[in-house]
Amino acid sequence: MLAILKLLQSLVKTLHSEGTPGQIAWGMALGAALGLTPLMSLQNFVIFCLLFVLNVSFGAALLAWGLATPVGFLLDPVFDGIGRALLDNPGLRPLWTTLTNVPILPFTNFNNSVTLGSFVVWVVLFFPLFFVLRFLVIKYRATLGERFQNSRFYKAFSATQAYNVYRWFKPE
Amino acid sequence: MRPSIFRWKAISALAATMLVIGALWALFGDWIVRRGIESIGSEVFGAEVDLASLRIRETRAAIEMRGLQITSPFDSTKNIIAADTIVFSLDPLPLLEKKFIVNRLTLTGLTFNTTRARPGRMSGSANNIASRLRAETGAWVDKVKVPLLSLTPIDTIKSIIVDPSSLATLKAVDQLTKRGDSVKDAFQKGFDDLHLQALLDTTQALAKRLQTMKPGAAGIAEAAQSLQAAKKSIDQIDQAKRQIASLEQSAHAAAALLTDGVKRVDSARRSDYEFAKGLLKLPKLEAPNIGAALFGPVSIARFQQAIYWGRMAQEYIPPGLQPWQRPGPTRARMAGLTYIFPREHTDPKLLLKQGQLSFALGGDTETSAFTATVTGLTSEPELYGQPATLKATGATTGKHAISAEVGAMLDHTRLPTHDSARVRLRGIEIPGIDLPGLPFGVEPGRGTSELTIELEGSQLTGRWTMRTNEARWSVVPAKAQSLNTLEGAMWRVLSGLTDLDVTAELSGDIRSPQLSVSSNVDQEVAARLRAIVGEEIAKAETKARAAVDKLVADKVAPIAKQVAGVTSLLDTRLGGSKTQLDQVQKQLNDQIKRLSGSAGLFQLPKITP
Repeated sequence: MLAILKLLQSLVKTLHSEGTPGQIAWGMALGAALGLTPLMSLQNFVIFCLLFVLNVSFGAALLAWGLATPVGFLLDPVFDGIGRALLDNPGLRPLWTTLTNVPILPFTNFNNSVTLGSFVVWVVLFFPLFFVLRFLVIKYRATLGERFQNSRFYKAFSATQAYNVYRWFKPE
Repeated sequence: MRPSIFRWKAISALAATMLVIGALWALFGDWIVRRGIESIGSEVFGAEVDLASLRIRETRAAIEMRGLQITSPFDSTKNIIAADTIVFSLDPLPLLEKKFIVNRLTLTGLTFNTTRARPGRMSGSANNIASRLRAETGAWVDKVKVPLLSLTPIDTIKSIIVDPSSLATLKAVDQLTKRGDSVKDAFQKGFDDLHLQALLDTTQALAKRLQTMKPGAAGIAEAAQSLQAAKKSIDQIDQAKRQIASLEQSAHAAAALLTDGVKRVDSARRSDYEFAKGLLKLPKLEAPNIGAALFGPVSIARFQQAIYWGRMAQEYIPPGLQPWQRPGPTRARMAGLTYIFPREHTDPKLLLKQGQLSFALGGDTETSAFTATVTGLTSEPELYGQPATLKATGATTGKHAISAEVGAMLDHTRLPTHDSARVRLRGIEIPGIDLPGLPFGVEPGRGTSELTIELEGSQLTGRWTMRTNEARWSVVPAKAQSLNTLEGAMWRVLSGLTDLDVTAELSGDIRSPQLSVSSNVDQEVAARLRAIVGEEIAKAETKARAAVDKLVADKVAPIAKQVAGVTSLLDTRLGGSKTQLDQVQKQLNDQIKRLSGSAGLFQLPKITP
C-alpha cells in the first residue's frame, strides 16, 4: 500500500513539475530501462549517469523505474525467449563473440538471454514510449492538471520537505 | 525558450553519487565479492560454500581468502574440502573482459572430509547443474543392483504362493501356441495353393492311358498328341516340385522358430524357478554375490563421487570452440541462460595457470605435510591448448607413516575428452564399514587405498582397492547374544580375519556403468555358509521348482507336443507329395521311352525326358 502511495505521490510530482512534457517523456523512457532490464549491467550504469547529466525529468525516470520493474518481472519469460532467439542465431554469432571478447563490453551481460531480450525490447519501445508519454502529459496538463494543481491536497504536498529535495533534480 | 540538453549543475550530484558508491565499495566491496563467491561456489558445487573472510588487494591484483569450507554434495555434515588461506594473483588486464586469469594460486592448510560445525545447505534448484548431476548419479546408484545378503533362517516349510500371471513360462507358452497355430495355418494354405492332388490325378490318368496304348495300333497323330501331353505333364510336375522345395524351405524356417520357442519356454521356466526361489528369500551363496553384498555400497559411494566430479568436469569444461550455455546468475529476476562465445587466440574466461597447494591427510598430520601442483585448469581448454594436470605427493615418517601419490589429468582440448585420475594412499586410517543388512561392521585400521578412474568420452573404467592387515570386526552389541545359525557361522569366519582385501571395478557408459566387487572374505564366507545350509537350500530349491512345475507342467508338455506335431506334419505332407510326384513322373518317362522305341514305325519326334 505504501509503495502504491509513493508511486502516486511521485506521479503527481512529476506531472506538475516545471519540466516540459518532452523532458518528462524522455525521463520516463530512459528510466524504463532500469526497470525492464536486470539492474546490474554496464548499460544501466550509463543510463543512470545520463539521467543525471541530461536535462530530463529525474523524478519521471525514478517513477518509470518503479512502474517498469514489475512489468520486467512479468515479461522475463518473453525477454528470455527473445534473447535466446538472438543468441542462438548463427548469423549473429560473430557479433556476440566480439561483444564478449573485447574489454568493457562483456559487462553489458548481453550474453545473458534475459538481459539481451529485455534490452532489445526497451530499445524497440524507446521512441514509441517517448511519443505516447509526451502526448499523455500534454493532454493531462491541458485538461485535469490545472484543477488538480489548485486543490488543497497538492498545495499541502508541495509545502513538504520532500518536495524541496525533489526540486534539486527538477528539469531546468 | 528551448531547454538546454545538459544539466551541468547535476554533475556535482553525479560526482557525489559516485563518491558514495566508491565509499560503499571500500566499505562493503570485500563483503559483496565474498557473498558473490559463496553464492557462485554453492551454485557450482551444489552445496554450501563458506568463506570466513576475503580481501581484495586492488594494487596487487590479488584476492586473499581465509577459512574456505565447501560442503560435501553427498553429506551435508562434512566439508569435502576446507582450506586455511587462498591467495589468487590475477592478471589485471583480462579482468576488463570479465576474464579471470590466475597467474598463481597459493592454497595452504587444505584438509578433506572434515566435520562441519553445522550442516551445509544443499542446492535444490532443478535448473542447477550440480542438482541435476546429483540426481543423475543418485539414479545410477539406485540402478546398480547390489544383492543383499540375508542370513535369516531358511524356512522350507513356508508355502510358496505363486501368482500364475507373474510366470514368464505361461506367457512364453501362450506366445508359442499362437505361433504354432499361425505356422500350421500358413503351411496348410501354401500347400493347398499347390493343388497337388489335381495334378497327381491328371498325370496318373495320363500314365495309365499311355500304358494301354500299343505302338502299332494307334495312329501317328494320336501317339504324337499323347506324347506331347506327357511332356507337358512332366513339366508341370517339375514346376510343382520346385514350388514344394520353396514351401519346404519356408516350413523349415518356421519349424526352427518353433523349436527356438520351445527353448525360450525352457529358459522362462528356469527364470520362474529363480523367481520362486526369491520368494523363499534364500541367501545367494556364490562368492561374487557375497562380495557385492558386503562391500558393494561402500564401493558405490567411492565411485559415485568420482562419477559426479567427472560429469561436472564434462559440464563445466566443454571441448571445442562452439558456443555453450549455462544457467544465468541467481537473482530476483529470471536467471535465463548465459552463453559463452569462445574466440580463437584470446584468453579463456577462467584460467588457473599454476597453483601450489599444501594439504593434510587425516587429523594427525601437519597441514603442510603434502604438496600439490595444479596447472592449466581452464573453462575453455581448446583456447589454452594443454590439458589440466594435478600432481600431489608427500610422506610422513614415524609410527604411523603415511604416503600419498595423486595424479590427475583433464584433457578436454579435443574430442573425445579424456580424464584420468589415480589416488594412492598408504598408511591412512581407513573409515569403518558397516556391512549392509547384517549385524557386523569392520574397522579396517591403517592400510592402503587406491582409486584409479579413467573417463574417455562417455566410457568409464574405474578400480578401487582397499588393503589392510589390521582389520577388526565387530558385532552390533544388541545382536551379539541373538545371532542365528547363519550369522553365527559368518561371525566365526569374520572374527578370525585380520587381512582385508577389497577390489571393486567399474566399467561401461558413465550414465549406467557396471560394478563388480570381490574380496578375500567372499570365498571363505561362501564356503562356510554352503557347508551349513547347503542341504536346506537344496530342499528349498526343490520346493520352488515344484511350485512352478505345478502351474506350468500341464501347459508346457502339450505345447512341446504341438510343436513336434506341426514339425512332423510339415515333413509328412511334403515328403509324401514329393514321393507321389516322383512316382508318376517315373511312370510317364517309362511310357515315353516305350513309345519312342517304335520310332521307325511312327516317325515320332525325339523327346528327352
